[in-house]
Amino acid sequence: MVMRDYIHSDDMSLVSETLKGDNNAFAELVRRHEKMVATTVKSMVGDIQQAEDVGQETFVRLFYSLKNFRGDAKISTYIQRIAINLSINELKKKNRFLSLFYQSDKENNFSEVDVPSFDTENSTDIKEAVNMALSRLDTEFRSVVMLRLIHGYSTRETAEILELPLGTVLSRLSRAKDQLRIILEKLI
Amino acid sequence: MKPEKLKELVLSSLTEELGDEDRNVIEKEVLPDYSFSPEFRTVLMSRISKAGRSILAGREFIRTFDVFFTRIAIMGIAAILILAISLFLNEGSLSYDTLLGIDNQVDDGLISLLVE
Repeated sequence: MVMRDYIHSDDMSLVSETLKGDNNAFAELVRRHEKMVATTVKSMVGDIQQAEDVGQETFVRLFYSLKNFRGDAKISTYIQRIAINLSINELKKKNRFLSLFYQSDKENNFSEVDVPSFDTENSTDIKEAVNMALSRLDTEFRSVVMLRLIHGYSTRETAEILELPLGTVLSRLSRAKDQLRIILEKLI
Repeated sequence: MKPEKLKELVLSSLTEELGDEDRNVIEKEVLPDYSFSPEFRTVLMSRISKAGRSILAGREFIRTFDVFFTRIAIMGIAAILILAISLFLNEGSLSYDTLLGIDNQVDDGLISLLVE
């Protein structure tokens, strides 16, 4: 069988070729969106191994649900939605597990003991600090911050990806900003 | 850029639309560069191939089932038609009584039969 070159195909052609049974088309789809998914799930779940597992699951879910993709939104939006939902599920699972052993204290989610020292003149350390700050945010804030700050989506696009009303996204962003300010004050 | 200014830029990026220049600063100085392990795609595509094979097997089963079901349905319809035609040729009509095989029975006869 001759392998087709899909580098110049658009995402919708790749979807339809995948649905016809061509896995090379799906491999190209994965190649194009792998980095975006890695950034999303790593920013959301924090742990590298967990992020890898969630990333795998994201693309497997995508593969199974491609037949339901109507093309109303961009495929990247669709993939982001799957990645975020799976990350949130993973975080909930983790929090449920941790709550069995630790008492939850929302007010004290960033205690002095947790603060590592960052060299703020060093750009790698600043990236680390931002990453740590993100991982300390409440789950509901983490997704909006990640989409706005890391992916640079507009508030409208963020609302579309999260399937939330625009007002909810704006309110979450405002509260997330306050929480992030408190966390960053201690780190940078 | 100074850390304080960078921090303010990060915070304002949440509620304001940044210009290209500020966005570039954030991307260069703040955002972590994430990627999956090199074998990520290989592992994924092997899972997908297996999943694809099971989907194909499922589709093949449904297709075979469809063919059998169609054949059985056609045979059933043919049997009903043959039965109806033979009934019509023998009895001269296709009334409800004919279908039940009681068209030759007279109501009175039936009553006397029940009384006895």
